[in-house]
Amino acid sequence: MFSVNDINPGKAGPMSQTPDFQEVYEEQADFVYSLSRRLSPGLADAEDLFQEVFLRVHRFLPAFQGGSVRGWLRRIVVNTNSSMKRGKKNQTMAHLDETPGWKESLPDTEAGPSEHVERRASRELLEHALSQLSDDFRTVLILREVEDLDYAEIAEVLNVPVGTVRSRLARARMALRKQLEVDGAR
Amino acid sequence: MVHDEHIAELLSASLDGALGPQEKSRLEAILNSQPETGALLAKLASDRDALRALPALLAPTQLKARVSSKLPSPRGSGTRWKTALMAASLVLALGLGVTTSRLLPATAERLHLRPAQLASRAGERTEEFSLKGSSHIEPHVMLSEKVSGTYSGGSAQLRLRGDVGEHGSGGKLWLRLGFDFDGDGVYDLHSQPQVLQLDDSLGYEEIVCHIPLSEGMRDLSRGQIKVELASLDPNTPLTLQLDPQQAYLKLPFEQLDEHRNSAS
Repeated sequence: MFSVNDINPGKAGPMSQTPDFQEVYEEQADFVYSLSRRLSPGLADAEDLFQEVFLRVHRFLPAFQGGSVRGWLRRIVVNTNSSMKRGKKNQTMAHLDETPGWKESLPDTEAGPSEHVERRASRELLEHALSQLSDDFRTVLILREVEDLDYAEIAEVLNVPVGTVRSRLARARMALRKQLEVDGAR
Repeated sequence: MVHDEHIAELLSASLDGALGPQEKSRLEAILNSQPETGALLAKLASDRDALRALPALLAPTQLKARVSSKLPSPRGSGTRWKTALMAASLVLALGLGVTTSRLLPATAERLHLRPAQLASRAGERTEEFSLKGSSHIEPHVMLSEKVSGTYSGGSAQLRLRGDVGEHGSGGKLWLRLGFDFDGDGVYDLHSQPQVLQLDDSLGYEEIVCHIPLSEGMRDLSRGQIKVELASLDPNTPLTLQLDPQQAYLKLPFEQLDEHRNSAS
């Protein structure tokens, strides 16, 4: 069960001014949404996760003891996703871009629209392959490659030893490679 | 495919620079004797690069408003919370996707959009033009030349209207800004391209796009600013509408000034 102790274990520090919820919501909504979509490929599941995360943020923000708000939010997203998934089958992955109002920001500033379209096909294969992985494998891959966390940071988020992160990441990468070959990529 | 979990872990850890000296030596020996393992390592590295290139997904405005309306009002801060909820409700009621103005500094300047031009003065009538998707997509360019201004920090915001007409679903608008800060003809910086999904109903919809600007932004000295727009779907041309009062590009520059030699 999610509790205040899940928010900031081992990082109790000097009390600092509680961040304003509205500011946190406006500044971090995109981050939480993007991580929710990556961890939970089903569209409805991801939107439920987004909502549940901010309900918990709203409830536990007064207990926030300082440090990185984003790091705190990341843990809430991962833990909430895990607790929501228990005993629940994954939804089929909806095309990430089927919703009117959907938008994305592309990392490569020099790529034109033609390059975007060319890369999109391989990106869709990758996203489909990710959606077929177990939650544990998908989560560790997203935390390492998308969130750029190191092994120690991932271990803290997942509350597992560093050795477990290293071996799980290796198995996740092999599972992704295998799925991509099954799907006909490269 | 390698079935040895130990080798798989060595390959994986090598991608993260997490091998100890003995592990590095062991992996080198394996790679020297097993070319197929080297090929696998290259594929794993390529998968890693593809994951790192996944774009950030931005929260849809309607989802944010819907979730915001379900959150309990904080005690003692009713005015601000109610104002935000009212704004969100108004946005939903009008069917608009308007972002909040607090994203931009108060001193932000704007250029008005015309089909081929960004201008300091608005046009006199609404203009329309189409973006035709094709197998090789050339973006449509709106340009402003000989522009000066002091960079004030922050992001840009583009506002216009678009419609996919009778072509149904799939309308995606790609847009990007470019800055030539000193007017030498070379674009020094491009924004991250933004891709927006339009709805498939008939009729124009408001498009408001917040465009983050990265490090490297600086003052403009008789430079150039361009907006590039494209339809990503070859089967779905987009029609864009430029209302002289509503179509604009807001930029984080103070005292933005066009040095025009002749009337536009």
